[in-house]
Amino acid sequence: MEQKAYTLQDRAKGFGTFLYGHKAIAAIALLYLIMLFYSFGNTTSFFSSYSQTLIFQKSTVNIIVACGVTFAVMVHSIDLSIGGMLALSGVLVIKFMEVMPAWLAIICTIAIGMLVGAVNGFFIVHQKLEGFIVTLGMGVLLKGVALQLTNAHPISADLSFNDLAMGNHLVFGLAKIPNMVIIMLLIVLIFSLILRYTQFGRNIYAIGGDYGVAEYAGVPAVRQKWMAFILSAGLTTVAGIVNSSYLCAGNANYGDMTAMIVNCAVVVGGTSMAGGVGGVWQSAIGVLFFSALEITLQNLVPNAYIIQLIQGFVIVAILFLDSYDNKRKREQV
Amino acid sequence: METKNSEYILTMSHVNKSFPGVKALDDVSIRVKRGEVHGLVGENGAGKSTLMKILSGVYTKDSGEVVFDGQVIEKTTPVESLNRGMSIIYQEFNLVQTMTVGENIFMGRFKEVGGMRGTHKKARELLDSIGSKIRTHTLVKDLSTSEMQMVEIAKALSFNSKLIIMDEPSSSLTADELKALFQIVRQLVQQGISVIYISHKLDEIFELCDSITIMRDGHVIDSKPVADLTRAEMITKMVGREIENEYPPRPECVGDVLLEVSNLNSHKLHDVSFQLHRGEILGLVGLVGAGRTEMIRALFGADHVRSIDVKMEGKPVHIKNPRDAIALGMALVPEDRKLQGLVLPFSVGANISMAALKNISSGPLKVVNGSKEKELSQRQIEDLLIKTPSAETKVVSLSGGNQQKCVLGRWLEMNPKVLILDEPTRGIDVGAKFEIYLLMKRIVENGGSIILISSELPEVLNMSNRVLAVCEGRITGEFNPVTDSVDTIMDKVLG
Repeated sequence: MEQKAYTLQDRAKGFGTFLYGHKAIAAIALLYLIMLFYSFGNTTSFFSSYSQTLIFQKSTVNIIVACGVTFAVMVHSIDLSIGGMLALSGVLVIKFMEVMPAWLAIICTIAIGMLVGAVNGFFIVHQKLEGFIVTLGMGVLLKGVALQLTNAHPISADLSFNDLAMGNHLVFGLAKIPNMVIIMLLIVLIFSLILRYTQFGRNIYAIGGDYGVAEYAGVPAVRQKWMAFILSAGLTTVAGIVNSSYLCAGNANYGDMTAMIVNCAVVVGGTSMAGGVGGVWQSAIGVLFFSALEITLQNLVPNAYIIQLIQGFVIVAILFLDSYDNKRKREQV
Repeated sequence: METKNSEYILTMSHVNKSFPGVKALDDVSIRVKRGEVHGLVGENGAGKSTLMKILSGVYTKDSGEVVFDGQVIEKTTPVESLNRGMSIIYQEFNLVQTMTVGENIFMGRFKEVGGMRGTHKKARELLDSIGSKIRTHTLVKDLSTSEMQMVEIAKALSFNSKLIIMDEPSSSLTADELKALFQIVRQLVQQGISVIYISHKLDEIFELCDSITIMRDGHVIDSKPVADLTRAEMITKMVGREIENEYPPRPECVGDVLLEVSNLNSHKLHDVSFQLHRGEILGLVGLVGAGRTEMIRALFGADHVRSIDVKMEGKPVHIKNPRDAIALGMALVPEDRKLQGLVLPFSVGANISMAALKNISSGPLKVVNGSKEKELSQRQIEDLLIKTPSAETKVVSLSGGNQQKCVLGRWLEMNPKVLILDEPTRGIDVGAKFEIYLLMKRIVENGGSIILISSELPEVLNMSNRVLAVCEGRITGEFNPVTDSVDTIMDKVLG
């Protein structure tokens, strides 16, 4: 009897440490719990398949962005240019499609995105400027370009472009899943594997954990840190294309909140701003958390201003936890 | 009991201080007279800085008594001891670079000195009193090192200090600036202020100090007037230590020339040339800041240099960055393992396998072979007897000696031809030290070569086949550690 109680307690403790290590999963679980209790006394559409699909759809674009940003945060930096990049790439791909076939337009847009990432990398890695300011400035610049290109009006794409994101096929003969979700899942899978199992991925951890040590150990630190920013911008471009296809339109004002939300989501997911700790799938969970939070709040509080207030509060609270955790770890050293 | 009018400004008796695993101060007693310059000398790790930190209140002593100016001081804080009249001028100045000289001197006390106008007026008076012509409105970042030192001294005087402790004040001064500093120190002493002068440079001690305390391994070895000591006696007392059986027999397997460095020049190094033989342990001795670390960093491609010619196995090679060096078969175990050696958030295994990843990954995406990686780190853990619960344990939780073995394991996996060890045994207990010495022996016996940098002279003398003395960015002598005496080597090291 006593033996069994002990193992149960042990398992509970193990589960506790897991939740502590994966705060975003714990937070999502908490949200669902809240909604579960709420649904006992009130009518809510939260558990309807519509709402649940909405959480995923809302997340898809941001998760693709977050995959890239994870690399930038992993190397102990940040990428705030993604907001502007998301808007610009959505506009660019539509503009390109007016003069060239869709596949070429997509390739050209991604190439431009990677170029922007390379420029970010040049300033941050090569010139050793502060990543926060460089990418913030770059984001403003990119949005400016997008505004100029569109004359600040939304532009619409050919309706067939919508198929890229919303076309669906039977997967394993089970359910029809929109392409954009499949693209997102593939990207999460591929980049998770790259980060975890390749030499490049392992070096990214080392560069973020301690740049000097990595350099001494023969890691091509400059090149691979640079690569992190190229990936960040490149994947954001992919997200921008998917977003435009989903909405069948391009708008320079898309992504105004993306930079903040995604960077927060990456950190909330468990990628430390101190670098060297984290992962791609954790970031995806972080984004899911923010989408779930938004839908939950829409169910609980009708006032949109209050929603934003609570979102902001949650972001600060989680960043505080992260810094508290880091401080505790530093003191152990 | 000392009184206010005692002959001594500072009396420390039987002070003890321990850190986990180390006895930093063991029954230390020092007396400093009013109005004297008291020299404090000793090797690195002798306990000088611990002593200072106890005086200033950064550390608390375990036992013993400190009497300053007739007052028994039990516990203190840096601010309290400053107000009591004890100032410490550290090697790294405590100045805000972007503020003016006057503001730095009276920082936090603007109100007491009568606002900004009073600040600059009083600052001017203080600077005049030590004969300095620095304008009080200059920003500190625009000053030279010696000028910053003047500001620090003025700051110390502004607290009406009775005792000023200077930690290696001469380390970055030119000869003229040093002369000016000496003059100021003598002037302070005439005003009745006492100065504790910490330095490695014996010439300065003999020229400036009235009495001297020699420390070694946390003990006070001797404390007497300078006039009663000769230079040779002092060196022996500083480094002379019973050499017991703490070292394995010296490996003797020196072969032909492996590495040749010549014409190495940088802003800190001047025309450095040396050779390293196959199977040799080459020791570099010198004071901190003499340029030992800079030499090997330059060789390793980690620092920018003006010129360097390197020949490996007779062929000229170009080393632009650490990766080139590693590709040539070099490996560097840096001085500070926590800052430069280990990725602290990583596990023991990940730290060990870091440099060898390219040997165990395959395919166009360079996928790391997980089982090979485990095997590799497990092999090193067993080989080096690293005491860790598992390869997944975070490296932070290991003891210093075991951490160092992780860094060593990383490089042994690469089978380096040239292994550079910078202070490999700092902060490591005796048992782990011996294991590292055995390891070094094994490496050279298997055909590797080692460049050993260490501030512990006995370590270098007992492990090396050949010793180079480094002083002020130059190689000042080459010695045979068996036949040449410690004193002749130290003489070259001290320049």
